[in-house]
Amino acid sequence: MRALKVMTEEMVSREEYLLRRINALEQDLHRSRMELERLRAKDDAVFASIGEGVYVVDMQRRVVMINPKACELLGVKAQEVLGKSLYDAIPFFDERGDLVSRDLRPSEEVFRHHQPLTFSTSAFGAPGYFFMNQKEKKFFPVTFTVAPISMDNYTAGAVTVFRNSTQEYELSKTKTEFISLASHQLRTPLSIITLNLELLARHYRDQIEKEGISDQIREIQHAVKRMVKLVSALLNVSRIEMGTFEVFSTPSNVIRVIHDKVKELEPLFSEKHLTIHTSYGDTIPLVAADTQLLQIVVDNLLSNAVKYSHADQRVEIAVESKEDYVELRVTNRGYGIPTEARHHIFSKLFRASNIRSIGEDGTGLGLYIAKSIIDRLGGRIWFSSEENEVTTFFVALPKVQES
Amino acid sequence: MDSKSEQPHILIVEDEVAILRTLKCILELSGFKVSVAQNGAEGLERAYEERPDLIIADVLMPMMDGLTMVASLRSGQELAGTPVIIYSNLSYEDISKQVMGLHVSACLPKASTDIDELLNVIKATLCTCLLSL
Repeated sequence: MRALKVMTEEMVSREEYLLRRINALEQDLHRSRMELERLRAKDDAVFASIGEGVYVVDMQRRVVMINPKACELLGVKAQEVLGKSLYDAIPFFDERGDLVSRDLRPSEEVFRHHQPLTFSTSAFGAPGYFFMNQKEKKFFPVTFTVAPISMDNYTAGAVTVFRNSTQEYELSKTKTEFISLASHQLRTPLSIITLNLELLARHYRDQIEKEGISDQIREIQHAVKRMVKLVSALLNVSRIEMGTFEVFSTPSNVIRVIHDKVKELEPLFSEKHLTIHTSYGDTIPLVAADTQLLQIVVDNLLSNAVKYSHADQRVEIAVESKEDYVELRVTNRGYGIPTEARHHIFSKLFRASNIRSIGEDGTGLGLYIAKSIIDRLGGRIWFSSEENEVTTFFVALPKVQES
Repeated sequence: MDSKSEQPHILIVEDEVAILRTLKCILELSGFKVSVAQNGAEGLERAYEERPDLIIADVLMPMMDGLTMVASLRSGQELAGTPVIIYSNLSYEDISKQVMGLHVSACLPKASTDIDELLNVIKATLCTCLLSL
């Protein structure tokens, strides 16, 4: 009996102990939940307060989070986009206002390569991305970073941070328009100088020789020519950037364009004792291109071949008919393109380190212009080069479609 | 044309005085008779008054631009066939659309056209016109 009493007391106290424990655990749980909610509220507040647009998509490309700034920039309400497909909810456009297809969206690139991607639409005229404010139906250029969200070595989705880059865009536009205006204005005084210099050289040759100033006249003429070239290169750049480069593609004869340019540049070739070897395929079909623009491209390639050749070398020009395009190759032996310069060779105002000091007057615009033109003509331009060895530039132009 | 032995007569329409003077000098030294006008409206007036064999016209000018002047010439009877060379700061790419249908003989960019080229184009244009008469 006594033993039973002791057992009962023990059980009661154990029960009390257990109840206390449960109570304490419950309180812990409650505290933890409160703490979690507090943290969550903090995260939400941080997410909501980010001054740039942010949205998150899961692996199914569904929008799972979007912050108020993003909603404001895109002119949407969060509940309108949450759970929807990214491609329907937040469409992307190119500079012409055409929809960017799903495959070409930067986020797809991120899902393919699991690397963050940053893109800035700040240069007017350069290809860029635009979002649309759906409330105001207005496009705006965007600068953004898309990054994969990694969890335990898996990609769980992607987060995009973006902002409206209209200001940079407008600035770049103003700059381009200024260049255009300035180069136009520079042309008149240049013409006056050119014409009068020529007039002097032509009609006062005897006096000039008698005074022994022929060299000076030639120097001035040379400098003015350089200036004219530079101004027209700047104008071409501004045309490219403003999108006012008119392209009239007609069936064009590449060989005739090359032939004319070679003839024009003959004095430069012979000055450096360069020999020209041409090899043209038997039947070279006409290409679909704008002859005037083609002349600019060929002029750039041939002038470069002259400038960056060592003396007494040969320059090879080849034209060959391929499947559905005509390939033009210009090969020279000389300075070549250093490895580190290869990614920048078609960039604006870029000049490789090995040719900045050789005294050739490059503008850093030639290949940028050439590439822009070739892109516009639907062709391709590329090169192979070894420093201090052989360099070849290739251009592929589409053949005229036979009807 | 009254007589073949007479110097060909060229009208220059150009608002930039320095270019006008230089062109006039070049053309006179090359044996042409030259008259000048400083905008499209004045150019039209001179053209109807003097009946030049050839007109060299700038594009951007005050009062009336060069292309409007040419369009006006073309729409009339008397000078619809007078050859016109456009000599301007605008390159062919800039104005190719506007000159369509104006029967312009040539478009020469000022900055990159040298005297030889200018004279060759002038001579070629005058020859073509004589042949077609």
